Amino acid sequence: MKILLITLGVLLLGVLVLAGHIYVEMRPRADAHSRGMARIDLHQRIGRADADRITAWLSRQKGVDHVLVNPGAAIAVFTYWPAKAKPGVIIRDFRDSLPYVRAERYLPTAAAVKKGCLMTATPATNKIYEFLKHLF
Amino acid sequence: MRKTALAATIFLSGVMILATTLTPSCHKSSGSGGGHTFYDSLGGTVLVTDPANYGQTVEQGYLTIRTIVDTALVIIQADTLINSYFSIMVNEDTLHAAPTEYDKLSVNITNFLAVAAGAKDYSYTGLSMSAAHDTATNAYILTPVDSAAFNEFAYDLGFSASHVVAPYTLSSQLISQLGHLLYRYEGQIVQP
Repeated sequence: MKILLITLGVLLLGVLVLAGHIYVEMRPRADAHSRGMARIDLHQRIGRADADRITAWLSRQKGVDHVLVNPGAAIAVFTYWPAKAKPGVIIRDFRDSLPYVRAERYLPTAAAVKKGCLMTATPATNKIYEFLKHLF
Repeated sequence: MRKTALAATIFLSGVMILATTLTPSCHKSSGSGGGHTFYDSLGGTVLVTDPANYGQTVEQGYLTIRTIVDTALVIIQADTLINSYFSIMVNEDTLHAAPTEYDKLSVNITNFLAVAAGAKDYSYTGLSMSAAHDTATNAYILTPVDSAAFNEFAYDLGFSASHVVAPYTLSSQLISQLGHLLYRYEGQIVQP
């Protein structure tokens, strides 16, 4: 009985270690096709000329895909390829290069995140499916 | 030992059967039955080079919808009337994992619209519109979506559709059809 328990324990431990290893090695990472989104809140009034200048500057940054500036709300949004660009660095350079010193990256609070992402909620089976699809 | 081996075999078989059962079908059948759909008007099943995925092809109809959705998501994030519903898209990606929240939202909305438009080779596996916007069934939604928010979303999507550049340019008639398609789901999305 003792041998059986030890064997089962070792087997279970082996399965857990293997599962952990597979997850760590195979978990999806940002690839060439993946894109992220970042938002800059300017915290100052801007006009159309500012919007054009900001759009041009952001569009020139390596790894930036799509840029949109809403002058009414003083918000700049851009998408980027995570494999090529780091939004934090881009926004720091943005503040250093252009006269928008109060500009800051908008990062939602946990409460704000919870309020949003309506369609990203998916059934648990789909999450398992997505992981298996990634593996095979 | 034979009992242990048998137990382990049964356990592993159970895991495999469970995984197979839980895995939904990736694609619906590609049969082209039925009449001309909105999806056909958007380019349909004609395979074209996927500009976002080197060396791969994608159906023109799907690519048109994805182009509209991707631009719309940027517009929505800059729209203070509804961007709070989509703030997760700009959350910091500390794990550098793929897909990003932006990727996921893009795929979910594109798949949903493609299937709603009549696509047969793609499937939407997310929550139903009722469940996704019901505070009782979706922990991610704290306050119900009102008509104003829904109208703004539809406006942003329509604005995106009207500004996509060639070769995905849509006629005003097709943009109007997109609006009709969206408003078919208003009753499920706007809940008391």
